Order: sequence, then structure tokens, then C-alpha cells
Amino acid sequence: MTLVRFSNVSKSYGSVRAVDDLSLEVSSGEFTTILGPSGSGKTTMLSLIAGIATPTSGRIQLGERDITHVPAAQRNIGLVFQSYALFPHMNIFDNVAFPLRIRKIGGAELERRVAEALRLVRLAEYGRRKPHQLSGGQQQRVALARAIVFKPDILLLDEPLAALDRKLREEVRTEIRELQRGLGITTIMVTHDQEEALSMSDRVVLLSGGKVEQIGSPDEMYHRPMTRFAAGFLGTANFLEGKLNGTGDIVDANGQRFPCYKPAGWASGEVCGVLRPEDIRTDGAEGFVSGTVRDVVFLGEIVRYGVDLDDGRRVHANISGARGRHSEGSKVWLSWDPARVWLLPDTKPQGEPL
Amino acid sequence: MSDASLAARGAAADAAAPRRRIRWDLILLIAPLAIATAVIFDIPLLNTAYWAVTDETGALSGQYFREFAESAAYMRIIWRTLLISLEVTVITMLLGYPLAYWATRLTMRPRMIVLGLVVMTFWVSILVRTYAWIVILGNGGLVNRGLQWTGLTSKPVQFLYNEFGIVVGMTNVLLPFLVLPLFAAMIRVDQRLLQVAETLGASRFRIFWQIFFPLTVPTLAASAILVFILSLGFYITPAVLGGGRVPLIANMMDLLINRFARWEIAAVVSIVLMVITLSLYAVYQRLRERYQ
Repeated sequence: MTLVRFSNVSKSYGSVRAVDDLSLEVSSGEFTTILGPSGSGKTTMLSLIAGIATPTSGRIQLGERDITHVPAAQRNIGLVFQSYALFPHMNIFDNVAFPLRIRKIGGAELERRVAEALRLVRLAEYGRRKPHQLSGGQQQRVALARAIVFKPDILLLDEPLAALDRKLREEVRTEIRELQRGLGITTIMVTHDQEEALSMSDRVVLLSGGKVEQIGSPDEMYHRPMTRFAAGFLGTANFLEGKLNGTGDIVDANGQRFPCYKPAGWASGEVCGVLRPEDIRTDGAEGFVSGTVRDVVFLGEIVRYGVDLDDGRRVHANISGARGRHSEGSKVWLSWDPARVWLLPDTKPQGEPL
Repeated sequence: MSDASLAARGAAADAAAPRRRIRWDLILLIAPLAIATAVIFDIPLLNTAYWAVTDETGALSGQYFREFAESAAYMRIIWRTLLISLEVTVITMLLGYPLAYWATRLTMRPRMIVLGLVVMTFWVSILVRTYAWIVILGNGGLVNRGLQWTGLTSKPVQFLYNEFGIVVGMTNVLLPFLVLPLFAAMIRVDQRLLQVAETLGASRFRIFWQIFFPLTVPTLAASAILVFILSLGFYITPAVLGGGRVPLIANMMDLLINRFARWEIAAVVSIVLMVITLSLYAVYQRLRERYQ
């Protein structure tokens, strides 16, 4: 069931179109991530959903309700800012109780619901503390408790993990996901971090220049990107550009052949193939192309090699650390499963197949 | 040993090192001002205190304090000064808070104009500003002529040479001391707090009174105390706009020293005023430290 619907929404700031004629649907109960680089319009999207900003044109619906011009206070949306935005002069209990008191909930009911929300984020004992006495991760969880305590229709998360250190980030990530699943609350997260998007979401909306670049499950987005931008933004991609020939090779301008496979219905012509670094092998005595290792980055579980092919093209390969090491300057043969080369649909050549 | 304890040891060593060395260069830099302050400020002040607690023979005595405490006239003037200072402080808050708030809501250019007008009063001498009020509030002044022209009154209303005139003049002088820090504090309030309160369902009224106002109260209190302290020492404004009929502490000191040559009583009044001021200043500093 569709819960949030954007219909041809635009938002301009002066002469800048932050969101440009954007249409989008978010299903009830789903965890949707709005992903994009800075300036892609994702923060504007968040403001539009929350009601902090109103669109220049277009319509926003929440369920059957048109909320385009409904003030933020009447939208029933729980917002968690990246900076937590806890009220510094109130203790944790009063912060979480704030939305309930507005809704005229008091007495035992208030106590019970605040305690319940704090228990959900494992901060039951912290009610009397002030925000500045809590760590970043704890403040984040208070903000989360405050955003869900009044049973909002949507939970909106603005870069919820950006201010946390790496270890804590993974912890809070799991926590948010479990909380979201447990409550079944429709959640929209805004982030520039592709790893967060891939690991947390049911659906990813990739924005670029105020427009939707691609929508799909994390798996689809990673393995079947529709555009070069999508392929490059989610994970690392090696782009193989050249002419697709009849036998299923991409042949680049230097005559170098990159085996792929030719999907039915594709004509020969200029294409762009995407080959992920983890699909490349470097341990064969022979392979498809040869090159020289120029860059070795040890990342623990994997080693990332930058390999300059003989024609000068740079290719990235991620090799499991267990599979031996190459040193800088050594010659390697690269090979891969041709079926792992994904041909970008927007480069599909039209015309008569050979 | 863990990294943390190593780092802690390193930090402790860094902190201890400069304490062992005496920084002669810094002492030399500070010395001229320190000596000048001691000679032309601290010693006279101690001398004043000495006058207050000794008699003609130089023996320790509480006679002047007793004389001061038993005189209804001195007490009345001190009491009036405190009361007028309080009135000025309250009026400054009532006028200054909305003014500062309004300025934060303006766009850049109008905001600069408003703040410029507030700051500009600093550039005009207090004396000039005080006399300007005579032009405005005097019997033949703008306000009285306006009132008579509209027929609201038949003869001039006495605005000056009473407490009202003093309060108007002092409020005018002291308003920037409240508006400027308050404006700075209001600008610093995180807009996201107000936005998040709105998404949680709060009305504008509630957002203002439960979020915005409490966050600016420490600065409001600190600035109000500053205004109060400054009010206690006003001389020119009560002298000119009070016309000598409503003397405050500073005017009383002037009389005691220049007219009656009662230096000892003036010393006692100074000490009393200084104790009040320093106590308030301590509160002001506490507020500033706690919230900044």
C-alpha cells in the first residue's frame, strides 16, 4: 500500500532547482532510503516530507490525505536530525514526553509510554539525565525514542549515523533496523552513504540533480544499475567502454577485448559494461587482459589493487587476503566470469542485431 | 599500557612543564599595566576603605557606618537608586527582548540597519543623548507640543525633573547592553530545535515559550544583571533629567564630597555600593560561565 506519494514535485530556492519534477511512491511499512551526493536534493526531499519546506509545485500525499500545504505540526511525522536536536534544557524524560504532552497525554499514560520508548532504545535508566551528559550514540537513541513515542505515520531519519564513529555506526545501524522491523513503522532515511543505503533499506531511491536516477532494492541497485552514475555511486565500478561485437566481447578503441556476454535483443554497437572489483581474479597464469599492479591497498579482509592495463586503462580489483599478495610493479593477468559483466541499459545499441 | 593512559600521562607532563618554568617575558608584558592599576586604582580604593573604617585618629572605628545606617536620608537615596535601577532593568528587558527577537527575524539588510541604529547610540555621548531628552520631553518639547496641539492636555505634562524622566533617559542609554548580547544568543539558538519541535506537533506559541525562550533566559538574566549594575552608578542622567530633585547614589556622593566635604561618609557609601555591585557581578559571571 502506498503511504507517501510525490506527484511532479518541484522545489526551487531562488534560481536553483533542488528538486525537479519528481514523482515517487513509498510503500507502507517499508524502509526506504533516499540516497544521493550532496546537492542532489535529498535534504530538500526530507524537508518537504517533514513539512519544514513547501514545494514550489506538485503534490505530496500521505495516504489519501493531501499534505502539500499542511503545516509540519499537523503531519504526524517523527523526525530525527543528524545533530539529534535534543532540547538541551530538558532532561531525557521531558524530551521524550514533549510530543505526548502536546497531544494532551498525561499522568500514568504519559509515564508508561515514555518508559516504553526509552526501554525500546535501551535507555530506561537515563530519564533524569540531561542530553549533554549522554554520549553521541545515546543522544541519537533518545532522538529516536522521541520520534516514535507518539506513534507517527512515518519515521524520517536525516543522516542518522553520520556523526557517529565507525564502531558505533554499525551498532546503531542494526538497532535502527531492528526497531523499524519490530514496530513495522514506515521509515524514510536520507543519506549520502551508499553502504548505509545498501545495508539498511528495503528500497533505495537514488537521486541526482533533483531527479530520480533509479529506484530498486539494494540488490537490484548494485547488480543491475541502470546508469553509469548509479553504478559508480553504489560501490566501486570498472567501466568497460567499447563496441559490443557479435561474439560477446567489448572491444575498446585500442582493440583490447573484454569478454562479456551478449544479451538477447542487443545490437552490436557502443556500450558500457560494469565490472565490479570483487568479480575480478588475479591468480591465473593466464587471463583476458594483462597489466601491472600500481597501487596496493590493504583493507584487512580484502586487498584492493589498482592495475594499469597495457593500454593504460586503470582497473580496480578486490582480492580476498587469503589469495596471495601481489606487490607494486608486478605483472598480473586479470580474468572474470563474462556473465558478471553488466551492460548498462542506457547504452543499449538500437538497430538490427547481427 | 593502554594508549589512553599513555596519552593521559603525556597530557599531564605537558601541563606540568610550563608551571615549573617562570615565563619572565609574560611577566614583563603584564607588569606595566599591573603596576599602573595598582597605583592609580587599587591603592586609592584601599585608601577609601581605610577612611570608612577609621576615625580622625586613625583608630579602627565603625562610627561612620553607624552614622550612615542611622541616617534616613542616605538610606532613602540608596533605596531609591535600587528601585529606579530595578525599574530601568525591567523596562529594558520588556523593550529589549522583543526588539532583539524581531531583529533575528529580519533578512540581512534590514537586520544590519536595526542593529546599526542600536549600536549607533554608543557613538553619541551620554551627555548629548541626555540633553536630547529635554528637547523631546521638556515643557516646550516635541511630546508636550504634540499633546497640546491634539488637545489631549491644556498645559504641559511634567515629564522631566522627576523619576519618570530619569527612567526614560537611563533606559535609552542602557538598552544596547541588553539588546546586543541577547541578539547574539538568539542567533545562536539551533533552528533545528525549533523545526523538530514543530514536527513533533508543537504550536508556535509552545515552541516559543517551551523551547526558544528558555534557551535565551540565561543571557537575558546575565544582561539584565549587567544593566542593573550599570544603573546603580549613573550620574549624568539623574543630574540632568532629575534636575537635582531626584538624586541617586552617584549624585549623593558628589554632594558629600564637593559640597559637604564628608569624605568618610562618601567612603562608606562607596563600600556599600561596591559590595552590592560585586555580589551581583559574581552572579552575572556564574550565569555566563554556566551557559557559555
